[in-house]
Amino acid sequence: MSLLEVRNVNKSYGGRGRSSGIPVLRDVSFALEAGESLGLVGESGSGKTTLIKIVVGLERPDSGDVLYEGVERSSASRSTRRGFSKDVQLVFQDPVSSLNPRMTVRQLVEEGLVIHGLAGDRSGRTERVAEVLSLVGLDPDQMERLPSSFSGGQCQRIAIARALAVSPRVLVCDEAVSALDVSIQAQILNLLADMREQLGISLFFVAHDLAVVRYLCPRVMVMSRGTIVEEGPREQIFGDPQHEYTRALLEAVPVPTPVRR
Amino acid sequence: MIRSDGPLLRMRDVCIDVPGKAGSVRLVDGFSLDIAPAERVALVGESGSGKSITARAIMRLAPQTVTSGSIEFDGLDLGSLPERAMTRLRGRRIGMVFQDPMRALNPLMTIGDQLTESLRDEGVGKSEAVRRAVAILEEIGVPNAAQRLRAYPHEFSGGMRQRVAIAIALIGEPDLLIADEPTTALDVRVQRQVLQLLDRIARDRSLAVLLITHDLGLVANFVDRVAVMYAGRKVEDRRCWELFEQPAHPYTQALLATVLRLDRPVTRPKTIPGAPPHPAGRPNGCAFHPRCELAAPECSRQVPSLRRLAKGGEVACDVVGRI
Amino acid sequence: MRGARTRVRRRGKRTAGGQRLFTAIVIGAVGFLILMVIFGPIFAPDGVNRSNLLNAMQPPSAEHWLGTDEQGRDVLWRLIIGARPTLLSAALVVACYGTIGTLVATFATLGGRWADEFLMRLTDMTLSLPGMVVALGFATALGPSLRSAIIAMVLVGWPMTARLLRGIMREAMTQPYISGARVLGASRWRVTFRHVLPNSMDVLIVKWAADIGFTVLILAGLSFIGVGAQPPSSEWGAMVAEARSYVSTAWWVALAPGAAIAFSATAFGLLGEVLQVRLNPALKAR
Repeated sequence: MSLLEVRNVNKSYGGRGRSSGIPVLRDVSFALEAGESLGLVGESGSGKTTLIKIVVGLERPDSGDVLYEGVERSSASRSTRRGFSKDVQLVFQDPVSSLNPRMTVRQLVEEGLVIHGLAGDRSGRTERVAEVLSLVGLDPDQMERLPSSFSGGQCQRIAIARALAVSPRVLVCDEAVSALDVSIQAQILNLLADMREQLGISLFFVAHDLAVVRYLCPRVMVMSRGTIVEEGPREQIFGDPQHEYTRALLEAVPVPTPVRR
Repeated sequence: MIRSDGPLLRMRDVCIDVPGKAGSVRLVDGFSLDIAPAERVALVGESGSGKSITARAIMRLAPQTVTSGSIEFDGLDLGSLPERAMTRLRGRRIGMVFQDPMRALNPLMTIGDQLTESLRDEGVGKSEAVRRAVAILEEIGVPNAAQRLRAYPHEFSGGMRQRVAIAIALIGEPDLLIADEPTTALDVRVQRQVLQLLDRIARDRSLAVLLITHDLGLVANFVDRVAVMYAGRKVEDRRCWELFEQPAHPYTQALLATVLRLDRPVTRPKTIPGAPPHPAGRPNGCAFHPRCELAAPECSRQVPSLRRLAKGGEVACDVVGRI
Repeated sequence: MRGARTRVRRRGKRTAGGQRLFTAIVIGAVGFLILMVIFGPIFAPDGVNRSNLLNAMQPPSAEHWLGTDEQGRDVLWRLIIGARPTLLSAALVVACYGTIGTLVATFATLGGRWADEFLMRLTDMTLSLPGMVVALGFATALGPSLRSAIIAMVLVGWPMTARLLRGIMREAMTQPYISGARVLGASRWRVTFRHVLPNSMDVLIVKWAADIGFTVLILAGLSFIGVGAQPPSSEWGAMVAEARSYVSTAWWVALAPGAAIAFSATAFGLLGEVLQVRLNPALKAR
């Protein structure tokens, strides 16, 4: 049994009454195993954002279902769904806008613990906040500060700490490094790789940057116009792509080796 | 028509300040750059490096004041040019393309009106202006150009919109095109198309290009020269292939080492510790020294000046020069 | 070499020092008004409102700085004790309709589509009524008094807050950190009260500060036309109303409360601007 499974998901937007609207996802199925790093590559408009929203439960599919530990979410009880929302966490593209600007780092990281009643009382929570902050490479002494006093890269660390505080089993990353400065991207990528290794969580890493996905994920899916056109180990996707679209994508990546002139 | 010989654009010791809470903040500090006619230069840097402000200062679009230094274009001192002459220069001699084509285009005007606007201001007749608009749209690869003149920006896809923005920048037949992150908002495949288009057009028209970007990979096969900015200062200025082959400044070296590449085996990328400084909190001496592997005690004392390298180009580092 | 000075004129923006001075003056003016509200009646001598016809209509002098009115009462002292009914009732009006508007907007956000639809249509309906006319009608129906003027102002005031806040909250709901809280498992209530509301209040606090100034004007206007505070109240609008019949002989009696009204309206209006600069993170230098 897979940890998380997306089964025959369809989703359209703008449909009203009889008209079915514009299809965004068409019969999407895939599975994520425990401890696995799975990558999803797609351009804007491919439907990857909608897929993420469905995976984390922000949207419901028109048909099909998301299964967590074999349980269908649509038919799960309220408490099972709550457990699901604890176990599947999300890291956003823009760290600055994904953190409530009026909450301190402690409040931000602590929020999931409060919601799910984890880590006991206030002092227990403080301890846990300090623990995850040091885990992601931040100084716990700075937990009373607001996100605005941190740089973009540090904010993304805070966002990761916030997601990790509730000990999730799946971390979904939506373009988690593309808004960061070039010199910071590698730091965050390495942090995510380390977290996956140390904590044994699964990573569902969605991005448009092929090189980034290739580094983090041994298994990669390519999405175009609402369907997964190709899926396989990264050696195959990047070394011997089968689908025409994958080939076009790979070809378009600029090679940072200039010709002498 | 280029009148003077020598560089087309000549920037000398340009400093740009903004008022801050505790006195003024220097965003760009002593920036110099020459661009020859038909030369293509990339200005590469991270956020806060001052690259975009520098580009906007050339066009006098920056809300910030150029505090000292000079900017000359084809022998004209842009600092002392009256606003009317500057307006004529924009578009006619210097074109500019922005990152977000949707925001650079007026959503309430047709593409045709936006294309012909600057020509009509100069007194070009309507039919002639339309003819030139159609010609440039065709050149830039917009299908059905004559019909598309009546379309509004939202009727175009992102890539097409950027093409139109490029067409608007080029219709006055400028000698210099400033492109500020022109492909950052676009998908990989469209990004490549737009870059190829810029490449072809620049070659056909012997256009000088100043490409502002954070993406080193993008510039490799497009420009002749790369200037790297860090914390408001130019730290390296090299011929493009030389920079990639043998980067001189530790920052450039580190930056190239962090870039993940599809043409190399999967390895853990090197990282640069810390984050680029906020302009208000620029470290003393070399701004990169707190993050630099090679930092020596003197690096925190004085700002290294740009030195010429034997094989051409400049670098602002006192340590690598010694080795 | 000639310095390239690309000076761009900064339209309407103050320098840092100028801004500080401006802030200080506005805060000072508002603080002065508040002190008057708190301490005025405590220090006022007995019998400020007692008439002393022998002393009537004295022009400003060393003894009576702002002169006396037609009943021989000291205009300055009446002005000082009048700050309470005038400013406090304006603040009360804004506080009441601010609360109602906030509640309406919050429940519209919380309650799902039907509640939202119902509350917002109700808001639109109330908003479409001409405020001044309704206030007049209400005040007349309830009998002219300061209390009816206050109730009337509250009834016509809340929809603006509700509509504005609903729009801002809707906007705030699209912020990524809202999705973030929902993914974390936060309930609707938690999302609304912990994340949406605190991030939506900036604009409203600015609006409410300016509204106090505006309400001072309207309340004074209502008193002036006779449906608000009634003489012998020293509410400033009522003072002007009382003084208008002999303005040609004793101009100071009307001018003093008139100037006080203008001063307060301006002070609170500018307080809104000061708060805007202070609360807006974009305008605040990092």
